[in-house]
Amino acid sequence: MIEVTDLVKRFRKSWSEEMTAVDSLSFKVQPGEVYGLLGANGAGKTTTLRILATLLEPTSGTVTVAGVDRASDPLGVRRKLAYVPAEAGLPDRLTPTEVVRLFARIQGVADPKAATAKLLDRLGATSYADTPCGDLSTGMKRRVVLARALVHEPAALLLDEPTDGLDVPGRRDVLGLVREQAEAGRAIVISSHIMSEVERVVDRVGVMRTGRMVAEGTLEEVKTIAGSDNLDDAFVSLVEPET
Amino acid sequence: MSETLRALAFLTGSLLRRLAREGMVVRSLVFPTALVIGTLMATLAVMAAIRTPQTVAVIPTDPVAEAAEEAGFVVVRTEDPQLALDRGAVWASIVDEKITATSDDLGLQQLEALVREARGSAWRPASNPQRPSNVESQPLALRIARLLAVLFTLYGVVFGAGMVARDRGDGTLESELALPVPRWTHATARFIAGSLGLAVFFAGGVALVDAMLDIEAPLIILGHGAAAAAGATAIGIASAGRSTIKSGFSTTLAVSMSAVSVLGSMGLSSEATHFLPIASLSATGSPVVPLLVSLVLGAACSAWFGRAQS
Repeated sequence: MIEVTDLVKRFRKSWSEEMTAVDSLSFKVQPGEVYGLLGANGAGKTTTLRILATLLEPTSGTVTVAGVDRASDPLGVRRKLAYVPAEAGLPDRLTPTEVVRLFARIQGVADPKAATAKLLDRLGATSYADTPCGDLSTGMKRRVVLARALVHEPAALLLDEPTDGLDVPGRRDVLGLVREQAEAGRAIVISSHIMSEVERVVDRVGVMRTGRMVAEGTLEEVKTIAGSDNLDDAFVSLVEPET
Repeated sequence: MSETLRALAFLTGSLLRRLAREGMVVRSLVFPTALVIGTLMATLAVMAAIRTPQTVAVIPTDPVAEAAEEAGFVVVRTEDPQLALDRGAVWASIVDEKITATSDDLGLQQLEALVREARGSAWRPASNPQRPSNVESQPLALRIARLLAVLFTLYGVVFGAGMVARDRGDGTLESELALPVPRWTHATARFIAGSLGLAVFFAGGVALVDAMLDIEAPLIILGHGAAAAAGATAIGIASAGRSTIKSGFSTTLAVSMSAVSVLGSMGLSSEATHFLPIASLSATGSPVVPLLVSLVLGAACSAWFGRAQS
């Protein structure tokens, strides 16, 4: 479903200096699978997701989503996936209904009005569907953001730190929704650095350090690679710089 | 292409709705009204403060003294009116058929008429009773309308750069850029929404000034002002680049304002540049060419924005 091969992204820091944010990254995500992209801050997780979402151009490497090549058909890739950035990105003065309907219309959903109402209802957001987004709590906003991402029923979902700023019940809700979406057959990539969340929701993980994939597999496989029984310890040992 | 145009229409509509809810309507109507009323009040206050009292020195036996008093002049009766004038005690002096005044005020003509009448002259100057009432207010109306156009030009910079920087800062732009439409669509939607909104409310402001003071050619002022506001919006969008309001917005504003100032200065220094928006703010000819150039500028800035996003 999502296939990333030898992805490289370099940023120019100055006229003479470059920084490699993503270095020879490769991974695959199957339909119905939740893939956790893990790493410390600055490891290259968000850059990778932004490249997958066609928001950034890679320096080299290939990405395909549901068989569509990112380089030759970026609009086709955008039709197949939905990207949820770390910031909510909801205009304060518009209501959830207006935001989700706008995206439904642009995505060419057949009946935007009905699809919006149905999705907001399914995500438990009907009670505040007509409240300006600026007046919503962080948890409410997350639900709206998910509704906006899912309104065109994408084949793949990219979630950048989806539980950032949420309280415990809010996190549980969002992670439950992520699992639901995977069960509906979507390929999901979720970036996080909170191991307890990752354990609950992902099928496989890829651990990144300074742009490179340092371990990949199921949680048990990653623990084995790190030589630790505890995921937190395994994560720390994998993402800490080598001495 | 039709999908892109549909998306453009939806994005523009959504942006206009946001602008309207953010109080643009109220601000756009309140500022011009306040500007007109404030300018009139300030002008009256300044005129009252600097106005020289029209005091006239006249020989006590001169029959013109009484007529001048009846006409509203302050009359100082003295045996030597010229001396009073030389000492700066009066604005004008009358000796026989000679009127001497320290300034060429409107009252001088009236004073001459009074003297000629008192001396039995065959003719005297008179003001035209058919003179249109707007002759004096039209230049002021033009100045206020142009000031309003400058205000909306500055609005354009802030709207254009602000719409991009704010939406980038809170993640709205990133979410929109992940939609299956070309990137220039997002800049074009902001250009259209900003320009349209500003043009509509600038028209409201011009109509208000016209109703109060009578602008000689309101449509020409409107056209040049709308072109300037659209051009400034395009410049604001292009110069917003990758900045956000949180990460520092002063460079963006400085670049935009400098570009606007350069265009404005070009317009003031040479009429040959009046085909450009903003430069044409002082022009009196047709605004069609500056309007078209502002659309081209909008398209170029949208293309630039699209390229700058990745």
